[in-house]
Amino acid sequence: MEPRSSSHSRPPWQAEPASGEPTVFIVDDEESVAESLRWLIESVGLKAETFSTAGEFLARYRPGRPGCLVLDVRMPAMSGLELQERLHAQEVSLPIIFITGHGGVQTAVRALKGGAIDFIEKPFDDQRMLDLVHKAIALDAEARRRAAAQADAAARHASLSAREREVLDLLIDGQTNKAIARSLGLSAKTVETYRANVMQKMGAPTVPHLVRMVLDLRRAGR
Amino acid sequence: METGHGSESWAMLALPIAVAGAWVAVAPGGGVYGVALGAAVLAGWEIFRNGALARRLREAEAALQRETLERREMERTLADQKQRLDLVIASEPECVKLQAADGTILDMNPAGLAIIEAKRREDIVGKSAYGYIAPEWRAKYAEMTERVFRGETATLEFRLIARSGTERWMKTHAVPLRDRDGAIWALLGFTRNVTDRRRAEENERQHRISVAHMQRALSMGEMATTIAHELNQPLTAIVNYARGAIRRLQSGQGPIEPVIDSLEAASGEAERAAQIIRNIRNFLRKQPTRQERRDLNEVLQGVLASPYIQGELRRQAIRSRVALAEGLPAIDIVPIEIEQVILNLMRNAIEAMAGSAGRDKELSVATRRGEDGGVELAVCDTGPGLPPGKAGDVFAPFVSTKPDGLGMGLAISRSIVEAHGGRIRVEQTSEHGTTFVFSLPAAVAG
Repeated sequence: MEPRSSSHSRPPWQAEPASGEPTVFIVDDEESVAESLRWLIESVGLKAETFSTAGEFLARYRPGRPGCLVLDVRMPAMSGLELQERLHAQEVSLPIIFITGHGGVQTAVRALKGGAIDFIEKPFDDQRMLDLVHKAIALDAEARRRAAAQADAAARHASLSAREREVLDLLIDGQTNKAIARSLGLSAKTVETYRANVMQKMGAPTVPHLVRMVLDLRRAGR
Repeated sequence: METGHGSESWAMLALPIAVAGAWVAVAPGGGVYGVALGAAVLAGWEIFRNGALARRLREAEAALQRETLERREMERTLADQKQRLDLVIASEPECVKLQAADGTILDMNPAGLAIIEAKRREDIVGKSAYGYIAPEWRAKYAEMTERVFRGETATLEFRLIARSGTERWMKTHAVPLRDRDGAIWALLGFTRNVTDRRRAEENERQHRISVAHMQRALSMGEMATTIAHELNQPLTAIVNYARGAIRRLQSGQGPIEPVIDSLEAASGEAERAAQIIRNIRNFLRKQPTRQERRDLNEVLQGVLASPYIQGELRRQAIRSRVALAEGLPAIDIVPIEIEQVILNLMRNAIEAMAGSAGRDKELSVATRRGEDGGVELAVCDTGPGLPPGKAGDVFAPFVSTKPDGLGMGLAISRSIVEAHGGRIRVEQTSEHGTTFVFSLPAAVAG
């Protein structure tokens, strides 16, 4: 794989929803392990790429590419756990499956607390590894779908006028058209128009749908 | 000597009488007187003669008496001395023996009899000493005997086989024994039982070896993690290649060439795993604990190639630099012990660099010729250096600069190096790293 030039980091919810097929990114300093794992993963028709160091992965990975990470815990220079932290800091949310030559409970706990899907010891059962990879890819796809929806909602929300946003906020608070008209000093008819515009701009079929969208956005810190 | 004085005074009286008689005899007209005088002279002479005889007799008798007394005195002294000597020899805790040139035992004290486990002197005297000397020492013993009969003194440590078959280590010091004419007629040997000392020395050596083995075993325990990791890599690859191949073959799709390649890669990995196991086995094998003539460069390379060192260097991203001097003299070493020293120094160096993230990590090892014609080996790290004032203490037992260190590695290393006649030291330490050096003497030619 050629390093991509445009690798400016962007928040995951702004990632293009379908930037290529999911890829299993394998990071292991042991070339034979990385290569054989790629061979195994490709046997079920998945795409896989190998990296010999954490640094190489950071340099070559373009955020937004879907898939999952299979990461060796112990590596020279930057360990798998350090890479996990770095990705976390960069808000790259690729699901991670840790592999290790020898299990350490503390390392496993740290990896799993850091959000890893699983932590398995080498040599591993091929079916278990493939199941985990499929699960990780599905989780990533789901996360991306949700992130994309959220990005869409955020974009729609951003397109609202100031007045429309005021109407929306009061609507979320559960106020009636009449109450909103009163607090904003508008006629009920005008509020009705704003409300219709908000529903349309937000792409919400019903008010409960709209409420859920906005609450999701608020939870995400928008 | 009163009698002597008495006969003397008689003689003194006889002389004037004889002179007076002679004078009277020659005087004119002294017929009767002459006869009388003659008689008197004769008598005087007789008296004189008798007196002298008696005196001589008495003198002889006195001398005889004196001699008898002196002789008795001497005999008594000699007897005393002999008794004393016998007592000394008999109670001497060392074996004292007289031996002929052909090895025949002429005499032996009780201590000697006890060592040989003979009940009576008669059991031994007349027998050959060689019957009690371990076969492999007989030539040396004969050589020693020969030297003594050439007039030299000689010392020899040999193994003795007592009558019961018990073996003992003896150290004998032998001198020539000469007769009145200066001819050497016997070897006088003083022989001490040095079995305890030899055993203590042997125990000490065995102890050192077993400590080295124990430490090796301990290190192997610590190394087990690293080794498991090393072995897991090829095993993982083999499983992956095999399962990937099976899945492709089961699907019945795709080209066959990549499957063949993957199986070849798998068998390559299996060979790699086997090699790791061979390396471990070679490393752990109970090696000869005898001294062997070796090349320091080869010993060093053996340790460097060990799975533990290679694994740790790779895992901690430590570069290694090796500088081997050419034409180094051979060394007489117990290989496992010196390997342990090198391993200890390398492990220390690697551990010293473990905490220094972001620093350039380099382990350099070098061999070189020592100032005294021997060899030196230097192990240098780029760690943070020894704590100030610690450089002198690090070789003491139970002194460690590591949080979980036992403090035995360098103490054991020092005792091993010193037992080989070498020295170990901290050559330099600063915030840029530390260099440990040990030296070993060159093997003695022959």
